[in-house]
Amino acid sequence: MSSLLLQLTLNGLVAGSIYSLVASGFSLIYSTNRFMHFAHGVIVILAGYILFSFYSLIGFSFYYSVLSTLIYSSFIGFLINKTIYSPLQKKKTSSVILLIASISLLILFQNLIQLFFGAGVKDIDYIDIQKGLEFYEATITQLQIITIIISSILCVGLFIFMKKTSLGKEMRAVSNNKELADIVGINSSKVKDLSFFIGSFLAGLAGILISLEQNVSPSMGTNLIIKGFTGAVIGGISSVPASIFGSYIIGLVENLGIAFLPSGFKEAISFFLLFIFLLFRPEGLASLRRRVK
Amino acid sequence: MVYTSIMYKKTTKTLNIHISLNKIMADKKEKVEENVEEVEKVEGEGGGNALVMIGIVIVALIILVYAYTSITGNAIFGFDGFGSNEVRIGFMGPLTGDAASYGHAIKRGVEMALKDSKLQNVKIIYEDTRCDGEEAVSAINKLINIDKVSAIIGDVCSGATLAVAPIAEQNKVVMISASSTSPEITNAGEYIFRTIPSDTHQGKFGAELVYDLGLRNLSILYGNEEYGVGFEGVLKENFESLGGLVVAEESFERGSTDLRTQLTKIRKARPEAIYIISNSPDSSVAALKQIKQMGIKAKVFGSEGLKGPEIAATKVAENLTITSVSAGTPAFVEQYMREHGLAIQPFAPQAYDSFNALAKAIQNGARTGSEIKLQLDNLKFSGVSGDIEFDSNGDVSGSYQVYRLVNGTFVLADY
Amino acid sequence: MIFEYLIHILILVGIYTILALSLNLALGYSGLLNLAHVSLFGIGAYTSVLLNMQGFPFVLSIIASGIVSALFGFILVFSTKKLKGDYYALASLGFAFVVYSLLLNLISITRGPLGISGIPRPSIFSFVINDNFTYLIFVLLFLLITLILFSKVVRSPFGKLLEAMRDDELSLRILGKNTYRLKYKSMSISAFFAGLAGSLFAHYIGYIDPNMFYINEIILIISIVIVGGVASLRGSVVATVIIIFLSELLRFIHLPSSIVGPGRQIIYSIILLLILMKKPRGLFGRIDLE
Repeated sequence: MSSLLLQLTLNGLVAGSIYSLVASGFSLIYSTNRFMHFAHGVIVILAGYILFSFYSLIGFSFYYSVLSTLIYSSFIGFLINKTIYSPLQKKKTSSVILLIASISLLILFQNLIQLFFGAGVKDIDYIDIQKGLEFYEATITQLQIITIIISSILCVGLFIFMKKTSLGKEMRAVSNNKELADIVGINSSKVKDLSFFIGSFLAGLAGILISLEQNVSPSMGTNLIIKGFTGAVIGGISSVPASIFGSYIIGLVENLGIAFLPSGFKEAISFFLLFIFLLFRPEGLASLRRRVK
Repeated sequence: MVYTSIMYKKTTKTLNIHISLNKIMADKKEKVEENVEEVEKVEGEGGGNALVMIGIVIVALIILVYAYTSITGNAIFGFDGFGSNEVRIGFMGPLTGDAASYGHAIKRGVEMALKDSKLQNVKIIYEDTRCDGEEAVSAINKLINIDKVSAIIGDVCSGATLAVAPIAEQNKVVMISASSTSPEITNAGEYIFRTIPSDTHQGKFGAELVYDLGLRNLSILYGNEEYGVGFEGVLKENFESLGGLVVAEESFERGSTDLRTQLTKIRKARPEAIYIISNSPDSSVAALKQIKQMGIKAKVFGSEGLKGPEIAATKVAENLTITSVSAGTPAFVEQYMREHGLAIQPFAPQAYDSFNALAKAIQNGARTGSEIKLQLDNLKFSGVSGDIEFDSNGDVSGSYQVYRLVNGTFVLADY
Repeated sequence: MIFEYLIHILILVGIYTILALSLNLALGYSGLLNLAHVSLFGIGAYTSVLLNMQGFPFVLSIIASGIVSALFGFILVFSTKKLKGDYYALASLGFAFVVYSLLLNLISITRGPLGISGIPRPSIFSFVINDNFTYLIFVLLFLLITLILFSKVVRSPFGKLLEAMRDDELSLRILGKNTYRLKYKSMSISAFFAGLAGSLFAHYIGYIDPNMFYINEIILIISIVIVGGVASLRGSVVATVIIIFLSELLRFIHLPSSIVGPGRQIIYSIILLLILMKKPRGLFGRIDLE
């Protein structure tokens, strides 16, 4: 039994890393712009498809493909903000409308991808399949370890970024009070643009790792953003490190939960957690820390 | 004194707030009433505009459709004036989506049979159902009500076939499937036939295969839809009646590519064999990869859905053992390779035979669904996938073969 | 032939119009941004089917489907009482996911992803509505009743209160109205009709599975209501006609199904985005979505 739990814990850490990669960008964008950019999920998958196109279809070198993917993802996210969200925000629409707009974008892009690439799964054949590293009868592959490491570095890095660097502080300022930030001399639209740039860069990173690990299909975007969003809500949607933490919790709970439930219930666990948290603690676990203080 | 003055201040404050709120409410009410008057005016006009708009849209649509049909000669309006001699047959299967390779293989089989039959008065109408029940229902409604088909070759996936069987049955349209193997289809109706044996047989065959190889602990990984559920049940039943033990049964959603959870539980049960039942190549490939990654040391078996090019290309699937329905006569296999440049794919022979069954009925003069059904009830011929004779349930009996994946090709094994 | 297809489309239009009207009552008139409306549709469908196929007469089944959906609507409002704005919308989305999960996983009841096929046509006092034309009349009857009822509600003092609540809930509460009760009532009516629509849908199509009441349908319904215009019954009717006709047209002109599927979703999302950006009132809306 303990080897089962160990394996499930490892699976949970891997899943958590993947979700946290998605949640980090999402939370960064939310904390700066104060609305939910659901289309973030499809940027992640789009990145996977760009990588697939460049590397598997056209045949560029792997590192060139990765670099291009990151650049393109960042730009696409930035463009979406410029063409859709900014105009809407200028009209002072509520965040609910922006939410609906972002969901429409998610559906739009997902189906465009399906139109062009087909609904099947695309395989990026970069990593050789071999047996993973094993300890105590639990296995984990190298790519999965790398994913966990990158995600942890991101967690620490983003924490430092938001708290210590001037750009991070500007982002927090803009999210707290846009008018005041403008008065103080922060170029809030530039900061917002940057938040989309960086957030979508993170989405690109997530997309690359996820597509290497699990291949890509058009519908994965919706699933990922739901999980990432759940993680962010549980952790605390306006804090990037908290969102990452929350995503790990989701990953672990999902995987450990199915030790006791039939495997089909994995998704149901996340949905239930999401609903419960939205009802009782929408600010997430991070708010506990603040209350204690 | 202080207390009262504070209270007084507080009450005045609240009163003031209340008064101002009342005023605001009154103002708002006024505004809303004004708005309502305005809007009712606008709505009045808007109403008229709306009707005109709808009218224009409908007329435009009709013109568009007429233009399209006259340019392309489509049969929507019966403009091509097909003779009453023409028999229309529908095809339902996944032409896109993760099961598309099966759909296209079957389509090729059907087209080959149409060409070889040299029938002039048969028209086939293809509908893509993506192995989805809802799509299948849409497709069959269109085929029956608009295209007026007498028979349908399909569906490819058991789930879709079962979803639409009642509709075919009620409309007296023959359905003949080349690949739906769920045991449930046996009782799906008088108009439902198939040229592939039910999984009650393959389950028995598979169980015996595993048992005869000396393996006693079996785990089953199956797709959570009609095909997978049906086969799994029969496999388990047969294996246990032989004296074996099914130590783990895990299901996955079609198309799912992360099977680690299920495989973790399977690995915990330490099986000697894993039987993968899947008609989703994406999931099959993922399962095979993850079995390797997780170091599961069991002998891997697969149902015939795994006998496809995607799986053959998967480098880790070496030594995979597959139970499969007939792959066709050597002559057919060669013809397939000649005409399509591909090694024979699952269900193509069965598809060839299903068209031919209909062709023979048509050659005997059948036109409508009921006429075709009567012909099929008494039909008997030798097809490329074996002898075709439908029992009272529309099923055929069949034989199975065992294939092993060696160096990227499926090789027939002795059994 | 074309007439058969037209009847088929009109039946769908009728059913979706009832669904859109009921959502408009909750969203447009009461300000309840209910993204889980499609789940209520699905719950109605499953309730009616499960009861009917166990032997309950259709009339009872369809009424039960309305009641059970109303119950779930009540649960939704009850659990999200304290939330406002986008948290309410997101919680309703979460509710939709939870319902989807339940439909998918409670296999012993719903057969999960296998879906339920062979759903019988309605049989009312031993008259079976077998042919589509009669079914169309049947649906139109329901639609008429819905329209009349909703028009009355919307013009009634209750309706005015709902709109006041949508515009400024706080002030309404200060004035002493129990807004929770208003929300319950409004949502229950909305959910009841969504459930009825679900039953009509299931018994027409003959097959249901959980995926038919998930994200794609959510977008479709929200698009219809927003395009038609918030707080406009007429708008919901017109928008349903336009959007359903457009999407079925794709299938009709024989575009390959690989294009039809994503094509439809692309059309909905583009229309929705355009409306949100250019004309947030929708076609006939009276209020901007706030």
